[in-house]
Amino acid sequence: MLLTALAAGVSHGYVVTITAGTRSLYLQVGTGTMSGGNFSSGGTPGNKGTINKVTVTVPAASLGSGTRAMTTNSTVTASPYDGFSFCTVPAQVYVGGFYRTPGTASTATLSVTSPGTLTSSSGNTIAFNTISWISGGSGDATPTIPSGTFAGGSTQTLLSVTRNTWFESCLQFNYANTQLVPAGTFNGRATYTLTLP
Amino acid sequence: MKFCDSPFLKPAWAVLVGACLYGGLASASTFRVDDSGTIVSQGIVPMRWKQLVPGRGADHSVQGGVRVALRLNLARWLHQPVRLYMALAPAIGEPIQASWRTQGRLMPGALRSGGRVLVFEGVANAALLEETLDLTLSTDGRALTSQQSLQFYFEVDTP
Repeated sequence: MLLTALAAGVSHGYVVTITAGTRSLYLQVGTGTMSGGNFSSGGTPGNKGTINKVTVTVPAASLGSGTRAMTTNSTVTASPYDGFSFCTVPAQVYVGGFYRTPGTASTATLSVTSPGTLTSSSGNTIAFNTISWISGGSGDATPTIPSGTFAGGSTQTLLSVTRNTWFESCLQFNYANTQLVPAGTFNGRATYTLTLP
Repeated sequence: MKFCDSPFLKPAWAVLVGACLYGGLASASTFRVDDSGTIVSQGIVPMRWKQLVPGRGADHSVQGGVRVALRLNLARWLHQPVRLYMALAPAIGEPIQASWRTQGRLMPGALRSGGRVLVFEGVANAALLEETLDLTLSTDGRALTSQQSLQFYFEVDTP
């Protein structure tokens, strides 16, 4: 009884309870939003609704004559991470982001989904797999996102993103231009997705 | 004369044995300080990434801050020279770094989990020492995956 009574009013220490850091995810394709400077200097990424375009015009005389480079309306040249002059416009589209998480969770996945065809208003089509890209970026000896071709009609994996790392590449798109197609404007949308495990 | 040798305490032999065993675990002259009444300003401290966005050569640490209103009972050492230490019990996994600012009654400092640091050396002039600590905690955010309780405590070394 005595020992219990003595112990009741005495405390030897205080406790501070801490929680883990939050998970976060960011993907920028073309134009993005940041406020307060570059990300590395404390800038905060935000949501952006802009959908950039990549286009090419093929003169009638050049139809089916081989690969033609496409250009973009994205004006992003600097890495949003640190402002480094990374991409060339209008030739390249900036693609970058990060995945941050505590623990040992596996990698995030960057993928792109494309429709089977690009379609004109009159219903004519061009296969989406006639569009490819060359990956690069100033100072990158080996591109982070590999070069490739749209699968068309499916989702394809582009990159496994290691946790707590920033990734970025500049993509130069090309149209194969191997067929004769009717005159018109052909549209299709490729959607890039960064998925957490 | 050390606490455990005091003839004054001999009648309460059961308590004395417990106290001497307890004291002997650390050092013959090291004692835990009663900090009843100490208040931590937040029950749970959310740790935030020091750098929001990771990158090349990135900093993966998380950081959090909390204010602690300390009340240390030094009556037992009143008018005696003491060396007062703040200690942080060993953490699970990666070490936790703690640093703090004070209002001047204790010394500011820093320590890692499992260690202790001198925060006061001199004569205990008051039975109750009150101080406010602005405590900053940091660790590797990749390793901190769940809630963790950090046990801080104070020890007195007597000459």
